Amino acid sequence: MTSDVVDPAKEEAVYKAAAVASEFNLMAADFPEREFEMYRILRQHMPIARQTDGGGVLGNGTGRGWFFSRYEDVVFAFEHPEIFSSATGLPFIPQAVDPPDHTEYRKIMNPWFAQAVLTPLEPLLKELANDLLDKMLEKGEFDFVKEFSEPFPTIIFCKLMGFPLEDVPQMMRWKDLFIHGMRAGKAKELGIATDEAGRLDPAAWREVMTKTTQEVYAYFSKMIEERRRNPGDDLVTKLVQAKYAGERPLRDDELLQTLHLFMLGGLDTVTSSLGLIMVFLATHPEKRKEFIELMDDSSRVATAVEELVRFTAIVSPGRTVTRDFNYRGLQLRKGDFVILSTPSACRDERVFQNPDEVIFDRHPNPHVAFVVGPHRCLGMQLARRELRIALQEIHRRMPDYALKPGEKAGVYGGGVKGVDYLPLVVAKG
Amino acid sequence: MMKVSVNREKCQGHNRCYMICPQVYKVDADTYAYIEEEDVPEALRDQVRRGAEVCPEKAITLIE
Repeated sequence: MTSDVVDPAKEEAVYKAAAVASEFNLMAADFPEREFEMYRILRQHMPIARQTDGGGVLGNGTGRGWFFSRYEDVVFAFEHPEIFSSATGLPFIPQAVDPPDHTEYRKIMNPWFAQAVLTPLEPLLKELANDLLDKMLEKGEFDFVKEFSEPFPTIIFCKLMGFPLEDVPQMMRWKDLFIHGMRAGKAKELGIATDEAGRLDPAAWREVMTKTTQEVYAYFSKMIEERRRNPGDDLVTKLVQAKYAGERPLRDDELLQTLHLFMLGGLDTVTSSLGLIMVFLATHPEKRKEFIELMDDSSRVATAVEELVRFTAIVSPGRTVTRDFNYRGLQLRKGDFVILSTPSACRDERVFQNPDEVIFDRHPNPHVAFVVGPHRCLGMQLARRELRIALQEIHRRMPDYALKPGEKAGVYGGGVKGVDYLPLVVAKG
Repeated sequence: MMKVSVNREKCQGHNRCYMICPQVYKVDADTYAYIEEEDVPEALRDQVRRGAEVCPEKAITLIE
């Protein structure tokens, strides 16, 4: 009998979910403002929602895709690469490669990002952070993205790779073209054709991608040749000396694809993550005070950084369904693309209590911001160190700051979220 | 006595356990976790449990 009773509030909620799902688009200009509300509605009423592919910019051009928003489903997909494949056709090793080849590449690369290798880098990271802070504090008012969150990981990347530091601006422009060229607002700034409404022309975008790839590959080829002649203590040297499955050196195409991925993974993700964390801390002074009080305690600060990483999770990776597969009653078809939202999974109320609150000593916090399964972020230990050291040094040098009055942070959505403008004013001490 | 083990097939090398209780959870040069001594000292039980609870791969088993 009770099953026949219609609850008007629930009815409305279902319509609202249908409305959210029908217009859901990670790339929409107003996405960041409504993001977490939309995820919450989808998690509750439509945990696997139909998703369009943005004209082939997102997804694989088939137009049939799904958006996974719940922790449990996102984890399932990440942990079943035989069904949810990363082989997108993009030229990225090891990201766009499935096991077992992926496993061989990761065997080579994992040791380069192990704790024991990274700990000795900490003084260098600290010094670099302070160099940037010196310049910022002279100004007192600055765009945090331009002055810190972009250059910091880029300089570290160039140092680790053994690239000359004068190439830092070039590196930043290349990664911008690759990662942000598809964003309408940024595309214009980068010189990529858009239509009258400012929407990206996918054909023009692909043309720019091809040209940029050629430039980047030419640069990397030069560096590879140089290290073959003069080996150094850098990752390019390690790559050219590596043996695939302990047997053969990596081919040139493998070297280029790996370096290309290192560049995109190393430069943009820390920029995005640090930028979003700073947006939060700039606008939540009470939380900032709390962070400053705990940041010199090595155990508490590690837990706090994990919480900030959970709260600002940035990536929504894509996967392609390898065969017709019935997932919890939903018929996925071979070739469907799937978007796995870590920003939503990291706010899933089924796993995290008060998910929309930053709780610095949150426990347990099994967040998936670095992805889980075989494709978990290769550079996660480096990223954590970069974030912790940056946050410690920033707050040691400038504990009191705020968003510039009358201005807004330039937060954007997409497959990799981030912030491209963060005007801060530092209080005079 | 509490016993702890890491499923090396499931472990993906997040190092979250190590970050919470490095006395018990060790990480190798390939970034994966391992246990040297499966019997957990009384004083570290809570920390070991917390380390297991944050594993996003659910790779750690505790037997109490």
